[in-house]
Amino acid sequence: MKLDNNTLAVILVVAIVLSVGVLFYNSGLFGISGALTTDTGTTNLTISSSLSIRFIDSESALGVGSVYAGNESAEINTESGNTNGNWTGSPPDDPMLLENDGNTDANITFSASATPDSWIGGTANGGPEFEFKIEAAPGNTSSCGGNQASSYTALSTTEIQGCENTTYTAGHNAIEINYQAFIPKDAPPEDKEVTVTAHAYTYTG
Amino acid sequence: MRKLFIMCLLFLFLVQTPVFSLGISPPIVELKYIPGKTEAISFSVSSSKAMYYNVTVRGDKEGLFTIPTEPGLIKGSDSFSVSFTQPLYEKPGKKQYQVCATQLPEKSYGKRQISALVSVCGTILLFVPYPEKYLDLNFLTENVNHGETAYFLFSAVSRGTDYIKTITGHIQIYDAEQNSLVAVVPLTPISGLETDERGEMYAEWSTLDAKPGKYKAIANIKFDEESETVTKEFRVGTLDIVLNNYSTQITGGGIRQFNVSVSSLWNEKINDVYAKVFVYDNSSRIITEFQTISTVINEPFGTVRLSGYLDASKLEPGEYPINIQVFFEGKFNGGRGTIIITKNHNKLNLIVGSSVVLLSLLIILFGAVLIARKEFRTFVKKKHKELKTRVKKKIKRSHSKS
Repeated sequence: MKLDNNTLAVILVVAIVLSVGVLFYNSGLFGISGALTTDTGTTNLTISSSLSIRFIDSESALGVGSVYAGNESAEINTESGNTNGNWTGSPPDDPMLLENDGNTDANITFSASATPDSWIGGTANGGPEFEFKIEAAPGNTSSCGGNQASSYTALSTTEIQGCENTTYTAGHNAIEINYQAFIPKDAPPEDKEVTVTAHAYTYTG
Repeated sequence: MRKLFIMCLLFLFLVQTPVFSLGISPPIVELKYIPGKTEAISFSVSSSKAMYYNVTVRGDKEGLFTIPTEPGLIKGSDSFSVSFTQPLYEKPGKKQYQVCATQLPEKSYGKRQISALVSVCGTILLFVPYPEKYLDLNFLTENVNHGETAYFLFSAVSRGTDYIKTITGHIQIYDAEQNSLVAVVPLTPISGLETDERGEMYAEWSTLDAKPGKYKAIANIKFDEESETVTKEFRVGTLDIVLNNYSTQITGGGIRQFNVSVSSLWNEKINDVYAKVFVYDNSSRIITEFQTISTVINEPFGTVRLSGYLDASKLEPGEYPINIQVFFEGKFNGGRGTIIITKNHNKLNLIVGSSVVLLSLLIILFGAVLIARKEFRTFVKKKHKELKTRVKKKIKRSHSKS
């Protein structure tokens, strides 16, 4: 499409008029000004309380293996490996990590989905045992007030007190959980699994 | 390349550990005790990943609750409500029930041997009133720094059946170290508390004229004709550091770690805390000096260990005077004491041991030389004899030819 000089001149004039008009409008010369005013606003903020826990690491492994011949049972744990057994793939340091990530202090208890008799099995040397131990997670201090499992403590289907008071304050709110199992020599050979539940209650003092 | 990709995926799968949280709100629901009253209580639950959960009540042995029977699904958040009928209690006091949302396990294969679930519980709290007048008091006070105002706050809840007309009181502040009364400050009164009603009492004390240290606040509370006394300790801080102890015995003959334990007397963090240690001879001349690593005392009134290294290689065993100066925030404090340098038994043992080994080697070498010398002589004698015999034979043969 070709434009003649007259059409171009008209478009140019319209554009100039529009530009100048907008400039005047914005500059306030038409009587519309941005008068300086003072005003106040109120912002309401309500933070609801919430009890919340978070597993940073929710899995632990005890490895694969068997009790050495001549021994009645083997002891394996997620901290330092095993004794009296030939266990492989057992990480020497595989704890679970749990954190209070809410804004309410928590009382934390633990239970297992099955008794050691049912998920490990065997009867030799007094039968199987499953235990847990709690300490402050790396980088944390005093995160397990009233620690009832500071040394290895039996864990079964009944809830066991862990930390009476785990605060939500950063640096004091994460705990490390290690596990230990005693495997009798006559425990049935199969894949073993157990689920540990961490129960959080509001700490009421 | 493809293999590498699969390996990376596998690695990611192996290192990934499930991270999830489960929360419940409100964490506490406080109800007014009305025996026989049934009410619906709602809770909201939230999770960082989609999960199924079920609702249980801990300690519900009397069928007081009606709870959801089907599992709920949390996709970000969800809510549920329970119906609760209050029983008639014989004994007064605090009663509580826990309504729990528990994560249901997923059907999965290849789980680790020990896996975990979470359960979060909201607490339903009710107070069965005590007969007549009963006041629950919660006394709050905090450490302060010198010059600041110390605040004392009382939270009072009426837990009795009878109305409390007025609550008044005052706080006696004692210097805890000298057990002397320093000040008496009045608490703002509360008038009229019905059962389960709360009120607050408040008092303040300026520490401008107080010396830093430990204090004891004894609150005497009067509610109508009853009275109660509550005690709480607090500290008035000063920007200072005290030296607790240090390494008093060091093994000589090398560079040794030297520790200094210090405590803050300040109710805030203290930056850049370090110590300079000077070791003197008996003529009060500095033999050696060193500086510990700088650290921060994060906790109010906290204690830290400052570590440095003393070059004890040139120090003879014995007792030496030392001066420890602790620097912090442009100030310093410290103290004098002594340090004992002990003999390095390990070094002595090493010298003795090495000497014995060396001597043994020399003896063995000497013996070997003697044996070799004897053998050589025997060998030479033998060869000499053989040569002699051969020469004799040759002479005999030449005589017989001629």
